[in-house]
Amino acid sequence: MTPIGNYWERTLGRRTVLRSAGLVGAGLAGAALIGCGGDDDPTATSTPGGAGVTATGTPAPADSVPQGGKVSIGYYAEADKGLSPRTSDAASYMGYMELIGDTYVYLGGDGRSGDARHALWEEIEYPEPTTLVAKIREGVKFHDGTDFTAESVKAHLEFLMDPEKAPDFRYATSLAAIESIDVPGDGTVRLNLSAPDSTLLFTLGTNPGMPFSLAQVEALGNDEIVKPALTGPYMVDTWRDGGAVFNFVRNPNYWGTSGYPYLDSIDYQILRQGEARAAALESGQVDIIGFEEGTATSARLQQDSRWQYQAVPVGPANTFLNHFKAPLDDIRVRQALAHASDRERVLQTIYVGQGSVATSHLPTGGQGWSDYEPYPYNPDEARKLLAAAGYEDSKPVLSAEITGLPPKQEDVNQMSLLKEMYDSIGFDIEIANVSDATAFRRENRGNIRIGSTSVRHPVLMYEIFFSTSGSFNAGHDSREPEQLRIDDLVSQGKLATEDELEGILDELHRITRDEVYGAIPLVTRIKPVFANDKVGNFDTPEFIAPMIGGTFRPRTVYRMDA
Amino acid sequence: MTSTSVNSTTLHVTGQGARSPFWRSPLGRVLRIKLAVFGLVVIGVVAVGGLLAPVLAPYPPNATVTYVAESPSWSHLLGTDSIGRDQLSRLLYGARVSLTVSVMSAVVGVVIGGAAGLAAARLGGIVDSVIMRIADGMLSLPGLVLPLAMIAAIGGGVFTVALTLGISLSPSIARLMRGQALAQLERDYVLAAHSIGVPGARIMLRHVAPNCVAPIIVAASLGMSSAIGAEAALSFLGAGVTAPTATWGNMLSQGLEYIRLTPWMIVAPGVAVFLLILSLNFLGDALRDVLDPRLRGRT
Repeated sequence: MTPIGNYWERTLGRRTVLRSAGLVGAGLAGAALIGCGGDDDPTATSTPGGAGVTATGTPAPADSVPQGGKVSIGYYAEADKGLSPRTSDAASYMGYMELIGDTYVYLGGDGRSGDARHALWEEIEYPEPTTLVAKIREGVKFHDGTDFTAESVKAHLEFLMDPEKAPDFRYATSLAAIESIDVPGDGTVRLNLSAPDSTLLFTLGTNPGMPFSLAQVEALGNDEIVKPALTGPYMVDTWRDGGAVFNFVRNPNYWGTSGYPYLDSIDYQILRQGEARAAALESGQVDIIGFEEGTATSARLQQDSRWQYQAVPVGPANTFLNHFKAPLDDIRVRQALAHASDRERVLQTIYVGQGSVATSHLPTGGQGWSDYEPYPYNPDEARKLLAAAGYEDSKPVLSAEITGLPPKQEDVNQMSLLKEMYDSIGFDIEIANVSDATAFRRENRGNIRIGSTSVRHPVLMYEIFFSTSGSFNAGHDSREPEQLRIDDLVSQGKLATEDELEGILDELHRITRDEVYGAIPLVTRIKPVFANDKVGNFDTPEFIAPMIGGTFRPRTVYRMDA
Repeated sequence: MTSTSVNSTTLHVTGQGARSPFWRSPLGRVLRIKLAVFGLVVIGVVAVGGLLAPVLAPYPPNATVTYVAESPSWSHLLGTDSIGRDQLSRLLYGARVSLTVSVMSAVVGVVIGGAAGLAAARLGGIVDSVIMRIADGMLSLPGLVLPLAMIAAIGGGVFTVALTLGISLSPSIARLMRGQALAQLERDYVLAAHSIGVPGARIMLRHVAPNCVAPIIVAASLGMSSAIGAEAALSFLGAGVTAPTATWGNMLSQGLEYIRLTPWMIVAPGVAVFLLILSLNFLGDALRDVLDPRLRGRT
């Protein structure tokens, strides 16, 4: 069996092995890469598709890092679904979930590398495309003292795939390729797949691949979601006020060899208002604050030399379209909307210039990204298209939904601005606030809404947001040729080699952009993060590389004055 | 001292009243209270500003006319907001929402609460108990919980917000109306009406209700000020009137992110909310002083 680090380098560089290995490389490529070509990096092993694997992003040596102390973080999103991977599912949660949990596969560093030292699977092998064999790391214990074993991997994955046992787990479809799990008894676990799935390793580097003690689930029942027993360098100490305040403490029995945990504890305080977070940083109440997107407050802090600053690149903000519903079932109306979208104005007005104009649903420069822009801002052309669609003397009415009760002010502002743009070329936009719960029920939706496509694996992004089977479509069964073609390409993407994947992603990009299908990309955002000068290791690539497009990763930080 | 003061005031009133019947009327007596006059002036200015907003506003309220967060200037007297809309124009249009919500919620509260209170007083027994327990239950909820829950269920908008705030106001009106009606039902004129065969419902609507109206007017006026604050709070939270309609609450919410950079963005709507609520409270206090027989001598 090949050690995982060598495995990446060996398999990703060779097409034949990739093919026979069930396309692990493509899976890692999504995990890996996005955003960085690797040719100028001497440590990278690049593939024709542009994905690369490096050994960068490893934390500082333990003996050079001050140990102890506490870091407080002001954050913007409550852990309202608890802290167990079986319920805590949003991308923005992964930064702090990674403090308390490890994953089978470590997606790490600068977004391109996986530091095998942090992974719970030491070695991975594909004896055939539909069989994955993983060697389990020895000596790992859950926070409740139970051993992490091959049996616990089997029990964990089977638990997640059972809708009766894990009814609140949203990503069961991501594990659908797993047909059965065997434990041969030699410290390995074997996943038998129904078909090769290049996205599986990426999936196992996120929530679905973060094991938790089932003994703790049995002991605590539903209370386990706020006191889960995982394997990470920190353990949950407190969770209260609906997830607005929670605290992690050092795991004294952490198995890792990297020197983690550096700190005695990490506190999270949820402060929804950006100015409140800024005030908390300025008063010394917290050491690190994060923003969900660039705002006037983050622009102000960026000018202040007292704060360390990092920008976490995340997926684009989009105008999502319900093309299953009139009038957006007419491509000319969708094209008119695309031409009416002044992306530069959205960037400057809503995001205070922090980010870039988006041409793709994927992060700028990443795998599958393209600057192909079929519909530049052109209000005159938009009016012509509306007239051609039969709206010369009348206005197509579009219901525009802002999700969240109460909604985010930034979303309100963005929708108000879009309304003005779209109304000015002849639409009649009616804005309504709707609950988050409707976000995954496309049939019940209005015509447009705003949202982001923050999934870093390109095939998974197209699957989740554009395919029939994706959770964003909620099983909508469309017979439209474009939809069928997207579904087919997504399926092909899961089986493809790096070379093939490039063409598939180009085709997916072309369909979704030419047909204005699903969403109009507007602005590729950043998530600004600020820290005071007591926070060390703030500027590592690992800190700012989001695993699934969510947020910064505070696992690496330590306290300078500890 | 107090006695002297009251007497001198009474003499003063009597003296003026002798000159003009208007000054002895409720409106006249209200107009002789300086704080009430201040309140009426502010309410009048807001009402005129709101009604004439299409004429007075220099720009359309939802149009992005210039750069974001621009300082006050001759082009934009109150500056611009976080997406470049003229603050003065939005303030004027926002007055419409505030006044509409306050008046409508008071009407809804009085109609529902008044009817419930009259029914409870007239029917008594189990009906009285049920109505009052429902009112108690609604009153036991913290301020904005009920409106928030209702808006979450049926959606936002000016009329929805007014309806939910009116329903929230109705239990206190119902309790007040019930108490007043019970007192009236003991009066001789009710007995007389019964004795000549006037139907009970007619007695309640034509005779009892009008005699209960004074405290209800006071409660409604104070309810209006509460509704303005509640609407601003709901809009501030993003749960009130739907964007991009201008309200003072969502103007405050918009300005929050800019509070350190461009504080004027929240000053205008903040002062407007403050002054209008204060004015309605002054007016409500004055009405209570004038209409409550126990306080009448103090005016």
